[in-house]
Amino acid sequence: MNASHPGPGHVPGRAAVLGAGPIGCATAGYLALQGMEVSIFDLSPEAVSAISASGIIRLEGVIQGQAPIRAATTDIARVLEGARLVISAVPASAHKALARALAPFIQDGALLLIQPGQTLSAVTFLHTAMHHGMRAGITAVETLNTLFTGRLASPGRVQVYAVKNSVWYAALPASRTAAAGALLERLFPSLSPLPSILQVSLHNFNAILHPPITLLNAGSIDGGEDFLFYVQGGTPHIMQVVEDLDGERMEILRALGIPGFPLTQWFHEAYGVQESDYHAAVAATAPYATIKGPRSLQTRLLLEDIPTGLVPYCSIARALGVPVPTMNATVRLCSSLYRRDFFATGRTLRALDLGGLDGPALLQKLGPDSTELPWA
Amino acid sequence: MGLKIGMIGAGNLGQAMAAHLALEGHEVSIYNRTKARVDEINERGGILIEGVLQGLAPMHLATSDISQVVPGRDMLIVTVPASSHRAIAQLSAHYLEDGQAVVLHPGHTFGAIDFFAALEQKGVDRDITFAEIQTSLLTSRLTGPARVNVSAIKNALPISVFPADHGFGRVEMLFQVYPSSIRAPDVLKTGLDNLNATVHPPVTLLNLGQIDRAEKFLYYWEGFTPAVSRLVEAVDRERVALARALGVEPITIQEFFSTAYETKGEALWEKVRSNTAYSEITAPTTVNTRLIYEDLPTGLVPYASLGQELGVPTPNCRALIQIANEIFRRDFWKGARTMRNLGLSGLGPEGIINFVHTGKRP
Repeated sequence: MNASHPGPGHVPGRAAVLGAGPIGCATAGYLALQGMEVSIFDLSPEAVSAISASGIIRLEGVIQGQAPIRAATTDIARVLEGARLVISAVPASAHKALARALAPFIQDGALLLIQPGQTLSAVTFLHTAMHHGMRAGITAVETLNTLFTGRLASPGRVQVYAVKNSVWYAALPASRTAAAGALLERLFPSLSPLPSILQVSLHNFNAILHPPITLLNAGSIDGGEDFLFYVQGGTPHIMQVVEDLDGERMEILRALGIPGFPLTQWFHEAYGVQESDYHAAVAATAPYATIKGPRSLQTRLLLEDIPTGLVPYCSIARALGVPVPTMNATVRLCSSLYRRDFFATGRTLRALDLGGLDGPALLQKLGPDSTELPWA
Repeated sequence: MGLKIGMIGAGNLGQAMAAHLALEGHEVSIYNRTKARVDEINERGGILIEGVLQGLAPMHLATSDISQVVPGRDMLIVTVPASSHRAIAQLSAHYLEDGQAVVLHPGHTFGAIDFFAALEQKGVDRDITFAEIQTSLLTSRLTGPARVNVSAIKNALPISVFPADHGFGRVEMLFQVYPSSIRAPDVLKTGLDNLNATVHPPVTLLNLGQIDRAEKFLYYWEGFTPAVSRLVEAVDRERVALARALGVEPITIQEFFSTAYETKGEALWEKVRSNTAYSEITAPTTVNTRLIYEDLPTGLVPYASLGQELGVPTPNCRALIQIANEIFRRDFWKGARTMRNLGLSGLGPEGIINFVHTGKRP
């Protein structure tokens, strides 16, 4: 372990990490160094074969060590065997497929931590798994961001750039957050609880920031031009659209009576940015200075952030009767850009069998006082 | 015998057409709001026209006083941006006379009805034939004081009149000077074939980043990418559905590019990017461009508003207007050519069709 990130100590038990990209490998290695017995799963044989052969994940960067791995395999049943902690480390667009795959095998009483999450990821995971034969009673915990940032140096070797200093989480139902936290916060001191998954889900800033910048630079991206995504792509006029989207998000929170804060405050807390003007804030965010725009429109900045970010925002707003014209317009234009209907394929309350709810019903099922699963 | 013409607007197009008609033997007076332009014409003693048309064309009068060019004229030709048609109607309302023709060049969507509705609001009821030319007849640009270069006279442009029952009698001169022009059945045809509205707003907004950064790029050849094309086609399908709901058989954007220009390829973006007429058209270097400020209130907004009136869905038109409202911090619906502002609310498709033919409200 790196001295600046002392481990919280020995934690017994089995963990399963699903997804062997940089985040999955960093998470698996980190957990193994905490003393857990860790297995890792990926759909792709190439992603797991090196780990399987050596039996270790090598961590470099801000966390260092050789982490023993019990199994690295494409067989999800084997990875989930006896695992009381299960961690999803795949992009949100793969959540449904992963939930289908784990449904028959996840162990009763397991704790499922979804990182990264996007909006309504705990609901999506449970809904899909239960529709595909999950008998086990599990607790799903959602986050928005990843616990680590890093990159794969080679298969089984991950360069960890940073351990995030604050990642929010909440369990579904909310009454289980405290029990989940007892284990999770011991493992990951950076996790901090919020009263409900609605509060976590409605602070998905990717959904506010990525779609307008990508959409209003679509010509450049589709033309394969190089530009700095935030510094050049977030022009003053485009950041006005971001500001309006953020204002609509705040209106949704207000209608639910859930405390919330604007994107600019997040810039302040995460990156020490002082500016309250949206354009000035993006320009002053140091880690954004070198981030490039995507080279094609086959990018998660729309293909993931629309269906798992703006679409659930629009759907929740609709249930509450909150007008979100800019969110709706953004989803509509992106649908035409790709010739697919994101309102039909994305995470709507209706698709999650929660259609027809009003504000109080939504709060009762997903809010801070929820005590059972929303479909109970 | 020549006609007495009042040309409203002395920009590229106004000066080019004023000079052309004067050379054809008509008595042309020209009005411009900014006096400097007028002074230049008076100093030169006319307008010097070059390119495919040549000569020094004398003006009967050049003035910044609109009351001097409206009364006593057979035909007024309005060449100001379409978003100013209403303002011109209000300025000229009390000088208009029975028997005149008012030509909107170009009309965009429902320019004649907008002009007519503005006169109604002023309580002015005159026997006027309005005409709309679908796009500009001349490709022109000012090259100096009272000096204009015309690089092309366009062929086969549709012209419509309002009320359609008036027929083309008062605007026959246009067909003599521009003989390839086509007589369109009514202003619904020319208004709903306004392709600027389906092309300019999506291409401009999806390239807004580059425009806001003042980067130089070829508006069509570089800005019209395959993804941009998909949005343009989605907007165009909404326009086509609106036209059909009013009994108009529109030209589709695909047909337009196949017939108006020599192009290659099957996909729309291939046609646009092989059109040599677009090879030098650069993008604006500021977001404050007519491609938004003119094409929204006089194109996309009337489309979206008509859709609401007829129950035809126009989600892409509406979404573009919404995003533009955020970007420009203004409400493009306000003061625009909505069915309400045009006095078309509640008429229904048959009422609208009847109105554009008779000029009479039910």
